[in-house]
Amino acid sequence: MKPHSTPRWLSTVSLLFVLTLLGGFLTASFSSLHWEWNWGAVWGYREKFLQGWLTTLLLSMSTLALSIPLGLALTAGRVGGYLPVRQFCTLIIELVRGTPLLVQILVLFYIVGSALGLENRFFAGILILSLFEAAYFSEIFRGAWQSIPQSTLNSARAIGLTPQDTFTQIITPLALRNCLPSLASQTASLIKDSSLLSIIAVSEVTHVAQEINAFTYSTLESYLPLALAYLLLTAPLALLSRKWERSLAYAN
Amino acid sequence: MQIEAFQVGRLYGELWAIRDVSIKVPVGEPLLLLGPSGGGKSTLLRLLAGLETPQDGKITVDGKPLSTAESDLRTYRRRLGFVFQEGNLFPHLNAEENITLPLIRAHGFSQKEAQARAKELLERFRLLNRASYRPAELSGGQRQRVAIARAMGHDPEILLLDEPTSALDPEMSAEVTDALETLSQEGKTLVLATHATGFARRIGGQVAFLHDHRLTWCGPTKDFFQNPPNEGARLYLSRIYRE
Repeated sequence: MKPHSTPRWLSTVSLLFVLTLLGGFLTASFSSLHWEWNWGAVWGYREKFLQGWLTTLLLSMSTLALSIPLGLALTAGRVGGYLPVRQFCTLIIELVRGTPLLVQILVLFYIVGSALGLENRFFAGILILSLFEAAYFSEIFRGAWQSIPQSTLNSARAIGLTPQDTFTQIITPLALRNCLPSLASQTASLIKDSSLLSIIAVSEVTHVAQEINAFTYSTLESYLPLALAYLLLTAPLALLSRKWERSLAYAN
Repeated sequence: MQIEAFQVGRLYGELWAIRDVSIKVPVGEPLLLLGPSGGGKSTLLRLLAGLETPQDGKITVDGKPLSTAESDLRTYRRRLGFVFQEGNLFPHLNAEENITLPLIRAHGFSQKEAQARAKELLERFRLLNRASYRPAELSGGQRQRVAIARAMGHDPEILLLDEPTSALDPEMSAEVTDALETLSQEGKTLVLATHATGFARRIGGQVAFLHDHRLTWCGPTKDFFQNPPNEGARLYLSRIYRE
């Protein structure tokens, strides 16, 4: 399972080579565009941009905090629960996973939200995105739960553990360990998904970038920092996900 | 502790895994469940261990019928020790924690008492230097011995084992069978499903021969091997010895 190890210097040289290649390709593409860079125009909007980025951060963290318990509830409803509860949860999960987030945002905000009198775009955005991510989280939880071998559960019965102890001492730690890498990568998706809330004018960073572009007509200067702003949030998660994946491989 | 099965039957789908089996678990000597694979050994063992309930017949403990309510069965299982063929240990816990978990959660030991008991058992099975190893870091034989140590933690009256050496190579099997022989000599009642005939002859006790989902013979181990009691037993032994 462990890939044959490469000397550190070799992997560094190789990485530099790949970066040069990629950088060269991008530079060549940009220079063939004959783009006239105008960073000065967007520089004036840096505070607004930072504010948007912080909004995205807050939006993502609130969504994460809300969607994980909601995802757990959906999993519980789907695997246990009475038939109507099971059907309801399954239906929600499949509906959310089977339709574009864009459509969900529009329908939930302009139709359901209006009907309920929910007008705060920021909170509505968090609720809508939480529902969307919860459906994905719930599938991750379900997979992790089902990956626990029957023999382990039999062992728990044989030693006389109560169902509660089996859940807290055996199922939860094992399932959590199994799903950490997927959770980290789904969280990265969540952060990028939040950009779609710009469609209902939540003033997160994508919406801000769109505005800056509209004011300055400097498209690349508005959107390249945007890419960087997301990368700043998602790259640590990608690293974390890989680290957890490795520790899992060794533990098993 | 007197466990007895009266004409028990267990149905899987439309197939009787065992049918009409009556047996009394002897006290103080081992009971060996022998017979071809798929003959019903594991099923009988799981019924006796309270891991499953019979659809037919009944099991009594000290003369009283065993309740089929899960909470009663749990209380019953806590009086026993059970070892599976494999996959016994919890992969996220080290050897010592695997032993202390049931002591703390099911038997009311304090953390300290449980740790002391685990140390004692690990030492006994010559595993003390492996206390902090996770199952993935142990050999198959070591894992099985930890599993036996865990099943012994609360000093159960009866230890039930389902083919504890089937997944092991001969050397590792010997580690496990040696440990079991010692336990048996010390007077622990073992009930075990096995194919290891050499070990079975050494350990003695009683044999229950299960063939085609029925118990076809029950008697002293010595007699079973010296003079196989029926056609099924003769065929079974001749197949095993041919290997």
